[in-house]
Amino acid sequence: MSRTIDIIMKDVCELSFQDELHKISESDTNDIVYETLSKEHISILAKKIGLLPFEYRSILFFRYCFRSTPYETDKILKTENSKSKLYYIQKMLSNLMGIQNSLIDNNSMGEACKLSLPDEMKDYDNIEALKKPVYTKSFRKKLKEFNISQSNNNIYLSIAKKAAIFILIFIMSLSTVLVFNTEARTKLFNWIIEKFPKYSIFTSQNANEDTEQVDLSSFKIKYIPAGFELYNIHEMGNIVIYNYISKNNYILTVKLLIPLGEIKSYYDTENAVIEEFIFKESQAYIWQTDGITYLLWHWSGVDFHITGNLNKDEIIKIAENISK
Amino acid sequence: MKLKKIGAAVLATAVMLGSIGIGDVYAIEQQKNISVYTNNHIITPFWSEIINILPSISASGNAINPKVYIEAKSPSASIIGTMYLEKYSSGRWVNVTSWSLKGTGSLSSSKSYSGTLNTKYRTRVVVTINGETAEAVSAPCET
Repeated sequence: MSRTIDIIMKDVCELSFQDELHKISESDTNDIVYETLSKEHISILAKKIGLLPFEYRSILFFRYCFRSTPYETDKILKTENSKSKLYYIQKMLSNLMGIQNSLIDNNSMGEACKLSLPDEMKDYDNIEALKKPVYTKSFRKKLKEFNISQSNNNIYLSIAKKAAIFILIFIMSLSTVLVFNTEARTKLFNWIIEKFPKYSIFTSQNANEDTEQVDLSSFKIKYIPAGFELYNIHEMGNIVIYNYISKNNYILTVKLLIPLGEIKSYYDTENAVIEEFIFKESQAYIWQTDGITYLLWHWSGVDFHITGNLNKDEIIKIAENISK
Repeated sequence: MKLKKIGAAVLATAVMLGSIGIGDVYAIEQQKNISVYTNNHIITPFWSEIINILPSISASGNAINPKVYIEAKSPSASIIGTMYLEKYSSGRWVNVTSWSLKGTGSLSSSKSYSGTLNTKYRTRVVVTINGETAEAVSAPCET
């Protein structure tokens, strides 16, 4: 698609979108009827998607190919009002497909986006930025983080989405556009995990934060499961470790670490599936092996590790009840 | 237009990565254990007795502070080992000094050492828990 057509389409869509925004805000989304397209129509829809302005195509691909929420899309692409735009695009495409009183359903949209995305790539085979990428050491290290399975059923799309975020931040940093968007990076890139067959090394990457003001004694563990008693405290400056034990010799350990430098934690992960999730606005990892549950996360300038002969729910409950 | 290209590059790369598959793209799992050479034997740890080894090091001026925390799966397990302070010299890590470790269930050790400025140091720990030996190394720290 030529640049001129792209610019014209963008301007037309912008004007139309502003008008449509008012109607969207007044409409009742519960009354929307969705329509499933045939394979033939999905193929046509894919071509129409290819004619949309770049921003709109990106919003669609992030939503339907990378499963990003409109909020995530706005943060990653620095767009505004992706949620309304998504609805607007869906309505526009429905009209373009001859559907007047209903919308194309999400499955059809998803299939069309997946058909359209490879075509999008063809135009950019000669992008110089991809010819000889020079990865920094820290970027290469951060790629290791992907060597983790996720609890999300759609792992393929989730990983692809993260790859997109990764590369977006990296490439943008070269052009100094997104180099200071540390919020996204903080959430995603604050651990490196090196996996070995029997164990894994978790390296905290949270040392950039202002840890000077952190006082480990200000953190309170407000929930410990019944039967466990504190029997040992290890205090080593920037590290405090609480050991609990039950009458039947079950153990529970809570570690608080101020990451002044890179802290390497070697943990048993044999035959374990390490699940990744967002906990207290940070990346967290949980896994189980040999009857012990492990949980790691970062919060308020401190790395927290909990291990114990408890199920995941109990371990997470302990974590949720750590406050300051 | 530049933004467009960048964005497209992101999408293209993401799809390219995804199309190859997780196992292929991110197959960086290291298929080996850290083996420990001790008393003329190669010992490969099994991690059936160990929950966690946490070696760390920090420095302030030339004051170096190597630390380690070790935890066994059994609270009654015997833990013995050695914490080594190593420095990077002539392209390799050489031993500077060491401290013995001994405990039950879990142990921690924090030591101080007066080092040389502008030198990289690290903590290395070799530990045996109920007969199972493992090694762990901290990230390096420069004075």
